[in-house]
Amino acid sequence: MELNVQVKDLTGDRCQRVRLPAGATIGQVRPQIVETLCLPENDFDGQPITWVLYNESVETMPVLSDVERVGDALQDEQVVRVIPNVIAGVADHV
Amino acid sequence: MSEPSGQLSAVLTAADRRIRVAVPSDVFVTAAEQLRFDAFRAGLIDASEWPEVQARVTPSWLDKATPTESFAFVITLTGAGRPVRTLYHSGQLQRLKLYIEYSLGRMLTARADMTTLGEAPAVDVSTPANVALFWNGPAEGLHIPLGPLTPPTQAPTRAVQSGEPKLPGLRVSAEAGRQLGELAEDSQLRSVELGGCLIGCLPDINHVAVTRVARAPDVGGAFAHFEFDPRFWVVLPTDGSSFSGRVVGWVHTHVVEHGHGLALSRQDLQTAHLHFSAPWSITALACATPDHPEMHWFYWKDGALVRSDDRLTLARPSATRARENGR
Repeated sequence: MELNVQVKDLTGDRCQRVRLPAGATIGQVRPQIVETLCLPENDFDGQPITWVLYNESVETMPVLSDVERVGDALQDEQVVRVIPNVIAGVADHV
Repeated sequence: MSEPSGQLSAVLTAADRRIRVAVPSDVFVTAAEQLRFDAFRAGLIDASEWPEVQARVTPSWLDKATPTESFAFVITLTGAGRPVRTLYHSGQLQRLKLYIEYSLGRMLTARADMTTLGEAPAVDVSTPANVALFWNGPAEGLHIPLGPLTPPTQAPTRAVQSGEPKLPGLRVSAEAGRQLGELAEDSQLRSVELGGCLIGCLPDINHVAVTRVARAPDVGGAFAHFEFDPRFWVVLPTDGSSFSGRVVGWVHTHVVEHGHGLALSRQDLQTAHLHFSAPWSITALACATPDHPEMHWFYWKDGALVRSDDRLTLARPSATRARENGR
């Protein structure tokens, strides 16, 4: 069984519909979602970017845990936001 | 043929009327598949006002029954410049990855229609640009020379290029100006960096309007950096068809007293490249000084983040309040 969900990036500029296997875990489908949205996997120092998934369709917008199963955490047609850790500043100014 | 059941990311306004779709080498299409374009509801315009239009691909494109290195076609919009939404059949969604790069121009006035022109030279699919663009309705005249139509992919450089002398017509609402002033002053008073998001609209490809500022919760501020609460982004509007607007950029502050002035840090550049690379995305920097906070604007041009020489001097909210109280 598969779920049809909408995935969006930080700003909503990138938005796709994807079909996710209900039996897979969130951790297993995250790479697919990141790839679907053409999001970068690493920063410019080569460090992996941590993308956290939120269920935007639920009022509390829970974080989707890596160990949760897609079929348990999501329902058909729900919206998933893919959010990185955004940092500004640090004293290395140019 | 099954009913449309999926939607690709790109929401397109009328172009200089081209949408180039490149299909990667590991897929192929059959004649049974066609792209369908449906009306997209924008702003207050009712969906019923948007006639459904379709794009028909050329036979030469459809005849490609075997994988090829890459091929592309160009769809020319001859419509009224209204946003359309691409709809795909479930089979396509499963088997195809369509990377769309677009060239958007001014809005048109002709009747809604779409035709294909035929094959175009193959495009580089290694830098897909599947960004969405929304049209939010009319707004008055700001003009920002927007950058390339593909997101910049190069690593940030340490030097920001010098930009246009100014961004003519950059429109920042009074409310947004007040909010930016408060952000900068709070930053200066508390001696920490603060951040937020620019909310606005894209009247067309050449225009960006900032209507308000969504201030990020101050949970990660320090004197030299600001870490956005991830949940902050989740609650921001992402539907450009609503009154709430859409994200058109981001802002953070520098505390000048710390020696962090008008320049973006390497981290700032990286954040802009990785997360705010849409051609219209604005990176705003509010420099908090004891006198007057100043805004500096960075925008995309030819793949590089460019600083406008425009500086917006903001009123100090506390001074304004003091004047008002003294009356």
